Amino acid sequence: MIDLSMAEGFLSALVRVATPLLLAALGEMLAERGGVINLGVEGAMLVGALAAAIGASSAGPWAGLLLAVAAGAVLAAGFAAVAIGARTDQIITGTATTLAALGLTGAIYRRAFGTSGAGLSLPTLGPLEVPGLADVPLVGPALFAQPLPTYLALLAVPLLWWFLFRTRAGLALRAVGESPSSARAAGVPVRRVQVLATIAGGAFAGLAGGTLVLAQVGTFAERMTAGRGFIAIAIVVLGRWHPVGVLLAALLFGGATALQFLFQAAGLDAPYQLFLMLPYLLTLVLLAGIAGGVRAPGRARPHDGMTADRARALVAQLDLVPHPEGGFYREIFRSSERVLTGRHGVPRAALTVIHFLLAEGTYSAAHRVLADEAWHFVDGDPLELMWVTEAGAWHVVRLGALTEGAVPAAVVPAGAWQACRPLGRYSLVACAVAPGFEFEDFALLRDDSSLCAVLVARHPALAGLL
Amino acid sequence: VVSGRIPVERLAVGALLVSGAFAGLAGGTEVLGVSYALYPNLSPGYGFTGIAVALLARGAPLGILASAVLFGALEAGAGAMQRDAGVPAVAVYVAEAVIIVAVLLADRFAVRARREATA
Repeated sequence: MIDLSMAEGFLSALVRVATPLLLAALGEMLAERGGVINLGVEGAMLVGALAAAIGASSAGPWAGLLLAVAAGAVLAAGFAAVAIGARTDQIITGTATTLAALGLTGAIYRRAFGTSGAGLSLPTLGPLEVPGLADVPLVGPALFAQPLPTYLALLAVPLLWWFLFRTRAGLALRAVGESPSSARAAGVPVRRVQVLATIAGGAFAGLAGGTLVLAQVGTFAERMTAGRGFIAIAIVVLGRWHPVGVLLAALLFGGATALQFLFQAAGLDAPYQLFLMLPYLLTLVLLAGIAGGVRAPGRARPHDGMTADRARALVAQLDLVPHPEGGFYREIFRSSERVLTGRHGVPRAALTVIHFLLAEGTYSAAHRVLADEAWHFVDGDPLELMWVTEAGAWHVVRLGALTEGAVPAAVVPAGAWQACRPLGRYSLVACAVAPGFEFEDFALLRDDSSLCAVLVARHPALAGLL
Repeated sequence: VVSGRIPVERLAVGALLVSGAFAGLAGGTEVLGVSYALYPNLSPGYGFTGIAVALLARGAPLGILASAVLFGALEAGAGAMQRDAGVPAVAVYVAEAVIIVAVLLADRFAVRARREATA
């Protein structure tokens, strides 16, 4: 049987479990809205927890809470300095950040409090009852008799919604995540915004760790966050990067965790470890089901595979195949009109047009075509197109969207040696060749070693594009 | 998604299955070859360190051999360091993190230098 006090206990436990997850997930949401995935959130929670313990043991729980926020922010700043400052891989850097936090907190804790395992007993933040409301049956204790961090977390939901969707700064943050190049063109300092969002996210995660110590457990233990930071990342995905969605997902996870208390109280005869599995199982199922196929804000998120996904999707959508010069192409038009010119001994189609895609790390190797080729930018990031005319003149053009300060179209004259490379993550262009393209009229510079040596010596930029 | 006639999803699922089998083998080896006992929290974070080992090696099998030996040596040395010098063994994670970040940064600067050389 489930009576009122059991239901009240369940709801209180639900909100208690959800609070640190909600705080950490809201912080991670901020970073991810700016196009930064911070896997150091688990580490930021841990340093927040230890800072809270140190602050509380020397100057009381309030000092502990403040110190926790600061510690989380400092760790996130370290992550941001490397991942955003030096543009290293975010996943690897975030993993290293959490690893460093594991070591730091463990070592400092053992130094400061010894290894006796006797357990540290800290002053904690008691529940703050809202007069009148705390006595409402069922939801009163869960919503109106909680420690301060719970109110902070619940208040942060509408505040962050307002920030993200109703302020210029929020718009700038979302623009940075959605399309860094457009944001930069609009005058938004992209990397500064990302660094600030990541540090704010770390402060939230630090507060989450501090909450765990000061409002719930009352002590610190090594690895005490036990993967909550990673669960928070899953919650951000489940909540679709929206503050309200994140709140609901955190409450759902809290509910799944609190069920074990309910089942135990109801005298259900089953090993409690089974219930410990429940919230994680639920997360897996929901991530696979509901959240399957959701897209993170921002196609241009670095290093998370989104861009590779986009390029792959374009290859499939446009039915592209590998081109001998590099990249992928598909001929989309071949004129039925035939023309005969002095360059070609036999008639050629008057015009051919292809889609051509270059992804990051690939390039169009130096080659020449015995026909004029008009390049038109279509989608993605700019690319750098260069050519040497038959007369020996050297040209370099940034082909891309006008908003990028690039030129949208350029023509490489017949017989010129040309090469190009994407300046961003991928570039989709359309190339029109007239008279029409034939592979007999196509040659790669690397196949002509003597000419190759001459041209590379004269134009070193070609060296990396053979 | 199929590109270049490669069954992408089937290969990804297959890779995950094989990867899980390897992790299971690691757990079995730990019980049957090292601790000869089964108890809760058997692994002191080996799985997580395993991620770091793989990341450091950039997914290159021979590189993983090298980074696993490096991290193994670090963690084995950490125990000795705690016994002889009183430095908490967990501090080794900081050393591992520093190595990973140092490799990342060195890599970034090498890429930048190469780009400047070709430009």
